[in-house]
Amino acid sequence: MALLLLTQLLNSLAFAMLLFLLALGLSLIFGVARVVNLAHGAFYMLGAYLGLVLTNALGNFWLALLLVPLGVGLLGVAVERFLLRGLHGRELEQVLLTIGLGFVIADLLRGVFGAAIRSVPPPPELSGPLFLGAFLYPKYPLFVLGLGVALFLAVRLVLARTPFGIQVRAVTADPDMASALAVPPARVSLLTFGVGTALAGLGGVVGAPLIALAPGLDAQMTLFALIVVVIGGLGRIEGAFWGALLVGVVDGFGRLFLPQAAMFLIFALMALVLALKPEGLLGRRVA
Amino acid sequence: MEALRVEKVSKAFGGILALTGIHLSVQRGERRAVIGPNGAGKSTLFKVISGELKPDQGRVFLGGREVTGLPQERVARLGLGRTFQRSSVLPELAVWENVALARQAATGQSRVFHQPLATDARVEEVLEQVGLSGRAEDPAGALSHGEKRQLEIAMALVQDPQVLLLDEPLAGLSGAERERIGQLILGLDPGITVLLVEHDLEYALRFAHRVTVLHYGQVVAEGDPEAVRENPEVQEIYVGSGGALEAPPEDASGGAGQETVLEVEGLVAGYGGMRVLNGVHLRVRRGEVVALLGRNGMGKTTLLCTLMGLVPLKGGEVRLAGKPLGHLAAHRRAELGLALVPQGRRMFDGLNVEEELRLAAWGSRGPWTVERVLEVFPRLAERRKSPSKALSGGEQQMVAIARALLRNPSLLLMDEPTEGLSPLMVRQVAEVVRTLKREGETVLLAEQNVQMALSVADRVYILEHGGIVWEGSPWEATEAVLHRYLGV
Amino acid sequence: MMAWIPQKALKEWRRGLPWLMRGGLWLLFLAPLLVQGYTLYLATEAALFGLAAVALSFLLGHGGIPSLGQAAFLGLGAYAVGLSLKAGLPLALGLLVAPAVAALYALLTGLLLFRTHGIFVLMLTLAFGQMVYSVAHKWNAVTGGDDGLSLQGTGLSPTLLHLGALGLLVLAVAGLRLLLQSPYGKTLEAIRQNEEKVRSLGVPAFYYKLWAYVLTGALTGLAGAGVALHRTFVSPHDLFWLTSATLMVMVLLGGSRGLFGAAFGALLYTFVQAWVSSFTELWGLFVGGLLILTVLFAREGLWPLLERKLGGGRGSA
Repeated sequence: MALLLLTQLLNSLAFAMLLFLLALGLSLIFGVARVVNLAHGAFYMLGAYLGLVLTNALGNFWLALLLVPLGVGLLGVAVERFLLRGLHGRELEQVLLTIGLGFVIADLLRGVFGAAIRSVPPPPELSGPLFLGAFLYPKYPLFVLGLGVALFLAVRLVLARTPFGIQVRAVTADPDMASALAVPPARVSLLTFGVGTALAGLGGVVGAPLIALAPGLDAQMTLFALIVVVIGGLGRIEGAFWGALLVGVVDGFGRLFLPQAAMFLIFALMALVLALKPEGLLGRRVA
Repeated sequence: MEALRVEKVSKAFGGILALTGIHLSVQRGERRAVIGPNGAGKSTLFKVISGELKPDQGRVFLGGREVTGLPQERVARLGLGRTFQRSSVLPELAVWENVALARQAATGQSRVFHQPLATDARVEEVLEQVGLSGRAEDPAGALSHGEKRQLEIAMALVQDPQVLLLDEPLAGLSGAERERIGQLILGLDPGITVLLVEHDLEYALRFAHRVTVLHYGQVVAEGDPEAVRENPEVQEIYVGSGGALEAPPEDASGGAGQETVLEVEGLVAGYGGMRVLNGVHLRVRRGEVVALLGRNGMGKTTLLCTLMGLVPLKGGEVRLAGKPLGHLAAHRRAELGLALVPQGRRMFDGLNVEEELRLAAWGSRGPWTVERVLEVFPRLAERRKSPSKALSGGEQQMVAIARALLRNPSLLLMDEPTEGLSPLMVRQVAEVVRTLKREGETVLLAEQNVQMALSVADRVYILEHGGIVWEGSPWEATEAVLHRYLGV
Repeated sequence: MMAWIPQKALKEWRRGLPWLMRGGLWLLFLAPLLVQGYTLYLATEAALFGLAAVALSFLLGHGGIPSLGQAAFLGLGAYAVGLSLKAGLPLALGLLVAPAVAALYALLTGLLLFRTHGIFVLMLTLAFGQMVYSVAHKWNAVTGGDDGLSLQGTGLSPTLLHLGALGLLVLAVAGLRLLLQSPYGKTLEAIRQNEEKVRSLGVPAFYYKLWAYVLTGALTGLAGAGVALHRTFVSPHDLFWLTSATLMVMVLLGGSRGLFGAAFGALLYTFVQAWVSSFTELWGLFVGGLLILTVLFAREGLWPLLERKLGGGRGSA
């Protein structure tokens, strides 16, 4: 029983790290560009399928892991530049546009790759289990777990220490004042959009071996990311991290003990947070 | 009978104490003016009374009933009427609908859903009273700035409030509108208790039975208008402090060279349909400190923000070192050598002092470096790891000035750097400006603290109703001039 | 081009134009009764979705509340009427239960929703909407899960059903327009324009928004019940957020203010979609693309645009 719980805990944490990647991008983009990107799950799916194609074509998962986020990020940059910027300051229109974009991407993927469910094998280096005495556990989720924690620390460091990180935080707090100090908000916003969508694409490549690809997964992942940021608080990476952990664990153990009601548990969690602290657990009140 | 009572109310925003232990007792039917310089806490006090903000400490009573911490709609239903600093009407509804809705809200009829909204005798009467009967059918958004004020007053009056809070009802109005609305407020039903925040001191003293003077979050004087007018402490606050006027230097041009840094010609700017500035002309020469004076709402901040590119230019031309700036974005202007010390200091939420400075210093070359700035402001070196929002007002002002200096600007725009600061901090800020002057920086300083501004400036402009109305040297700015344009 | 028309006639024409357009719209909805068949089927569908779109238009365009969870109301209404019929309740009762269930859901989620503002409201309506979808999808015992719920034996003729749906739509438009003239309706519009100001006048904005949301929920639930009867089938996939986005497209396409635009948008969308679906099965591509185009190019919607064009340039919006 203890082993079962431990296994489930690790599974949940690995899933939580995927959610973190998504929520992190969503949160960064919202903070800087003030856009709730509801195409986020579609970017995840795009990353997953592109990863699949590239891994097969190049025969190398690691190369795909590097290239796909780059490509998805570039697409994100193009979307910001050509579709969203013209709607600057019109929140509702921007959100609706990202929804539309999400549907378009998801349906194009369905058109190209079909509606069949695809499971993706982990790369050979990471397939198979790891033996820890009597306990054996697949390597791949551990890799995802490690990657997520490493990214969390890295992004925190970038935001805390690098000029770009400080610019991102300044634009998030007060874009006008930042521009009066020679920070170009439009460029910061463009780059952040690229980084955010690249993170979603990365999530897709990393997540495909964990969660089988199927139509509708994009909506599922967008929804999870939204719930994480609502719970954790929008605009803060700590909020995305701890929110993702909470949602991941509740989801994992919910599936184990109350398989019918797992999804419902997460919504109950969200409702509880909203009732007690509408700005999210670690959130600041947004005017 | 007491209409309003405020007991030991305190409110802080981050490291800034906006209100510290305020007491206020207003009798029924009283006319009370609340005066004080910008940032003294007047608006915060109004927000706490009306329930928009919760005080950190202290209690508020309306007609003997405690209302501390109630949501603002409850406080309003208990008899508190209010107008906002920025005119606030419902632009897509007709004028009469604005008033009728306010009426329905006061009588608890807003919920009615089975019959159309209709005007009634009281609505007509109030529209007549404020002089808007002729425009009843127009959408409120089409009204002029002054008419919107009239409408807002009508919306408050039709609710028959016990206590009416008027937050700077004359700010930003032109002469005729000012006169009209001034008369309207003077003629209000004597049964209503009125609290007025107003920067036009003359008007406030004429209006009030009693006057409360706020300064950096405290009540520093209270009494009838004459006593307050004669109170030397109040005079100092109002005229300002920060050093005596130095004797005119031998060379009347000061240390300034003849090279023009900034040239503004016929500048027009505003927000939405509202024109705040209407043809401003001014110039700043290298090494000069130029003071921009003017009452609140006359467009000082708008002018500096337009120069910085934060408010769009609607007409005229701005040249920096001979180069027209046109509609350049703010960050491009910053690269060309403009830097702004903004009103309210605008610290970045989530950044610490060092990060604020590094952000500004990035990509900027010149004599001002982070190290040098920290030498000039040793207090900031001590607090370099503190979140900037948690600093006191004076420390935040230092950060804001340091940030702008780190841009190594050819022109430093300073917007009300003494706002909300204690007299001690005001003197320090004045000292900083003098230091900058000695260092040869060029500064355009918008200031309400007249004395401080005159003590540091080489030249003075006075802004009124969207244009420059007076120009000269500090020692030419006699009491008569100041009284005429600034009301001090 | 219209210079030769006397000014007076032009003025008369402009005054009468809105009425002509409204009459024309209802005629368009009625006309398929003449041809029956698939055209009538589509027209009924358009009237029912029109009801839901009009409700969303009321909520979004007049109440200023953006909702991406309208599919949940539709679905709750559809399942409620389906399960009521299955349990042997009379149809009339089922048609009462449907809006009641949707309204109850609106009340419960609204209590949480309106603790937040702006774009957060939109995110939460979406999240709660997807919750209902996943419940409908997973709770096999009650909803039939993926297989959906079949209704049979309601015995309504297509003509009757269409007239019923159209009647509901006309009633909803007329009723909501009257409501918008009332103190409540005007206050709701005032909250959209300046919530702080309205609160400072003593209006508890929270409850005004909540009741608008509940009313919208009930109307959309009724529309959902209609759709279930019309299609004699309830599928959990109609609860997916794609349906919410579709309603949003209808509203934006027609114009979010004035309610007629939404009804027009629903009619237009339904027929265009039927036409397009003969080429492609990628419904998301169609809805998504249309949404992007609408947002980018048809900002105020086609109905006001049409009104202006027919009125010869300037018009009353």
